[in-house]
Formats: sequence, structure tokens, C-alpha cells
Amino acid sequence: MNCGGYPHCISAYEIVGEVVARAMQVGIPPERIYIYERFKNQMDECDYASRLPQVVQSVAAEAANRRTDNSGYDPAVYVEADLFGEEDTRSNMMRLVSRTLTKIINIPNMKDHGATGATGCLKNIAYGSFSNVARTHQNGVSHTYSFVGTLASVEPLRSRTVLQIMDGLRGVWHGGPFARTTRYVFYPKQIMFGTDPVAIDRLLLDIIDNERKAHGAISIWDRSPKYLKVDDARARDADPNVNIIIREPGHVEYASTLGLGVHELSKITVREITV
Amino acid sequence: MRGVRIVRRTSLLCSLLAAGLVAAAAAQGRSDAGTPAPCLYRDGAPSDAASIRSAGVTAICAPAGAGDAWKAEGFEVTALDAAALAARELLPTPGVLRGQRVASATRTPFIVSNGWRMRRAPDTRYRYHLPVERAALATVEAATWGADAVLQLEAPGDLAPLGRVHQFLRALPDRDLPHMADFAMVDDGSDEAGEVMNLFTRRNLLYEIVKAPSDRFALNIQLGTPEFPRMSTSDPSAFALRVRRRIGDEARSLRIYGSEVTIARAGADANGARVHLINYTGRQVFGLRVRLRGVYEPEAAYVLGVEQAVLEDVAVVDGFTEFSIPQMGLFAVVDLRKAPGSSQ
Repeated sequence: MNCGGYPHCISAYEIVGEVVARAMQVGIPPERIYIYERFKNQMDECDYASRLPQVVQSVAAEAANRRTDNSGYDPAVYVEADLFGEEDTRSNMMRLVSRTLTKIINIPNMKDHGATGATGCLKNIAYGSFSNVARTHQNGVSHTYSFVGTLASVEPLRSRTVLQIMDGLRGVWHGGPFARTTRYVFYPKQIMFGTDPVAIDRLLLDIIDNERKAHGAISIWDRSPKYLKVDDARARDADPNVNIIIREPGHVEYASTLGLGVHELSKITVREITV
Repeated sequence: MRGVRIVRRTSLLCSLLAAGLVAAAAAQGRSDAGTPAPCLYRDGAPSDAASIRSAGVTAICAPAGAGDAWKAEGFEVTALDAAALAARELLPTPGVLRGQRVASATRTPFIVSNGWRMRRAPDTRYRYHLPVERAALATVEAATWGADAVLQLEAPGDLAPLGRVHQFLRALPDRDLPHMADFAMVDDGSDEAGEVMNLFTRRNLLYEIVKAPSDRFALNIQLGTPEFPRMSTSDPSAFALRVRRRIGDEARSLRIYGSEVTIARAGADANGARVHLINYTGRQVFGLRVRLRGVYEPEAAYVLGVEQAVLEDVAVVDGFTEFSIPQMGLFAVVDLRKAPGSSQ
């Protein structure tokens, strides 16, 4: 799931609950169904557990985003990269993902993201399954262009993520991935289902950008330094024409080069069902 | 991104030693000698002898005039008068400074460590004058680097953690192995060279201090040369990063993953290796990962505050040994022995 946008934009309880119910309906014992995120404090805030059968397992890799607990990550499965000269150059996959899960259903939200441009299927599964990822963006610079796809392409995460259910009942068009206020929340009123995270995220980029345009905000593709106020989250939250990092929406296209999916709009098939 | 590597090594993970075996080896390997600890200084009569004793501290330093009274209380006493104490070099209080990110080019925590001073001047006699909650850290720091140091405490409440460290060190076999090093640092005695060594230590870049460039190392850092002009040390952190990238992370003899505030000392000889790990915040870290050059088997793990410590997820890959420490607070020491058939 995605808990980072609590309280106004998280993976909807109804969708998570329905996914669990359908999995049980096809014969998966509830005790073999896991919901997971990286941080327990965020999962506790969202409290999916009380809305699901008790035996469904809730797993977080760390108590909170404090970088002191690595025990929930697999020391043998990692991506190593020196991005800014940080000492800890490894991002490790959650043990749950590498050693326990056999199929993963990814339930991201439709959200703006200051470093990646938008956060959808790729960013949710990548940054939600690996440690030490906040290091990729700081001081106005984002290495997410290649890092998001690189993480998402690591086995067994790549092969086990078999279904994407993008919750677009609500969305965030600025200030994401968080949603502590409703100021930038909007309502796409749609859910996207698919097996291709790149294709869904390609559609997401336009959804976020169009919503920003509707509010007179700069495009997620705008790289002009004149809109950049490095690390000034307060200014970013006050003004949708402020970036705190140069965004990298091109991470979606880059992911396509890793074989994660189709990026060209002309090759993406969308079948709409209105209810 | 610089040099991204994707690694999935589950099949290479090896259980070189089960938990029980590690514990058994630890018990066999302990000697009675223990590891020397810095001396607690008391300048007067033993009015607080009972609390020091109950904390587990058995040896102190005191002026000659007070020595007999302390001995009568059962303490091992080293004579140290006020003048001799004052003549010792006063060390900065070790720890992690808060609020250092303002105007900083890095988010890396600012660690005050004296390891480089102790490396640079191993024969110097030091003293710490310590505010509250630093006695245990100063003690493990001095013990790690083998420094002759004396502690003056401002806070009586620090006796208990100090005593726990003393007990831990008494049970820790003394094993002073030659430093592992990836490059040589030519020490010209300058402040710049000192600050560079400080950053090397804080970044776990393993260096040998030499007086002149050494053929034993492929990389010699000599300030004032065209390759390393003194001006380039104006940002010591950037200088250390440049050296690190020159060596290459893959080639570094020691790496720490999962903590930016843990500083290690690594020593090795033909038979094995020892890694000291000091967590300068003292807060619990779970799953700290260590990568060390050489093919080793775990021999013993000593973790302050943890009985029967074990290493987890031990693996040997590409000539390096990796292991995780499930939980550690302030201090841990890991002994490794050369794996059978290892040529390194």
C-alpha cells in the first residue's frame, strides 16, 4: 500500500479490503496474505489492520524512518550506488519481499512528487520495498531518474509484482508525496488496473500535469532554476510554483528501457469502464 | 548515479557458523588479561568509593596522597598528581553534534572522534573532562585506539555506564593487531593533515600514517603535492570523498552499512582480524552490516549490553567477508579467524 499520504491520500481502505477479500475468495488463506509498507508508524496511522481479517499479516521493515533498523531488509539483495558521497551506499530489499512473498499487488495513489515529478506504480513499489532511498534526492538534485526503475527491476521484486491497482479516487497535484492538508488534494475519480507499471505511470504523468495546469502551476517537466527553492518545503507547500528539487518525471521512460513496460502513449491500450 | 550495482546473493549466503558455535568459540577465546581501559581520576579521599565499586570500576588514578586510602578500599591505584593530570592533552568530548546541518554541504552527521589523534600520537598521554553521558563513549574510544587516557567525570550518574564498559573490557581479550590500511597518509604534522586524518577516520577510510611516501601503498596522500595541494583540504569532507572515490568503494578494506555514526577500527594479521565498532550516538542500531577484506570465519562477537552475541547473515563474496550484528548500542568488537584454505 501507500501510507505516506496520510491522512488525505492513501491507498483506499475499500480497495485494499476488496483486494484481500478477492484473494481469499480464490483460495488464498488469509494468514498468507500480507500488507506491507516500510514504516510501522505510518502503517499504524493508517490502521488497515483493523479493517481486515485479523489473520492477515501487517509487516513493516522499520519502526519509523530513522535509519537505525536494518533488520527487516535482506543483506544479500541490494542496489549499491554512490549518489552524493553518502557513506551507506546500499539500498536493501525488504526480507518479506525477497524471502516470503510470491505475488505482489501494488496499490499506489495518484500523487505529485517533488523529486520524481509524480509517484505512481514504479516509485511506490521501488521506494516502498527498499531501504535507504531518501538519499537519492537532496540539495535540489534528484537521482531518481534512473534509481526508481533500477530498484523496481531488481529480482524478485520485478517478477513477483504481478498487478498494479492505481487508486485515483483521490490524488495530490502538488506538495506530494505527503497530504497533510487538503489544499492540493484533487479527485480523479478513477482506478487504473494493469500489469504494466510504466504504462500506468505514463498516464499518471499527464493526469498530474494537467491538474497542475488547471491550477496555473508550473509543469512537472519544468526544470527552470527560477522556480527552485532548495529544501524549502514551507515555500513549496505555500506556492505550487515552487520546486524544492528539479523533478525527474523522465524516470518513467527510463524504466521502460529496463524492460519494465511500455512508455509510448500510442502503444498503450486503455479500456475504460464507467460505473 | 555512479556505478550502480544490483546484487542478489541469496545463494551465496553461507551459514559459516551457527549461532551456538559463535558463542562457544567466544567462551573459549576469552583470556584473563582483558583490554586496558582508561583510568577514572579521583582527586580526593574515597568518599564515593562504594558507588564506584558497585558500578564495577576496580581501578582508579589518584594523587599519591590519596592513593593509600583508595587502596584500602580495595582499588587498584595508579598514582597521578594534579600537575601530571594537567600536563596531559585534553581531548574534545566525543559524540555527535546536533544542529550542524546549517550552512553545511553535507547531511552527514558531525561526529567528534578522537581516533585520529590517538593514531597520530599514540604515545601521547590524554585526558577527557566529560559532561554527562559521555563517560562510556570516551572509554570505548580510548580502549579502541589503545590510548593512555584518564577520565574526569562531571556527572556521578555516569559511573554506572562506565562500570558496565569496564566490566565489558575486562572480559574482552586483548588483541592488538596491525591496522588495516588502503592507503598511506604522509603526516607532515600540519593542522590540515590532522583534519584530513580526522575525516578519514570518521568516514572509515583506513589509512597508515607514514613520514614519507611508502612503496607499500598504491596511494600516498601527501599534502602540498600537485595531486593534493593544501588548498584542496579547505573542505576536508570533500577531500576525504575524493580520496574515497580514488580508492573505489569496491576496493575498500572496510565498509559499514546501516549507520553513518559508527566508526570502526580494523586490524588484521596472518591469523585473523578484529573489528572495533563505536556507535557515536549510542542509540540502538539493528542489523548493522560490515564488509571486511579477507576470507574469514567468525570467531567471537562481543556486543556491549548483549549476552552471547551472535553474527548473522555471514557471507564471503569476492574475497570479502560480510556479517550483520543483530543489535548493538554503543560498542561491539568482532573477532574473525582466517578461513581454512584462505590464501589472503
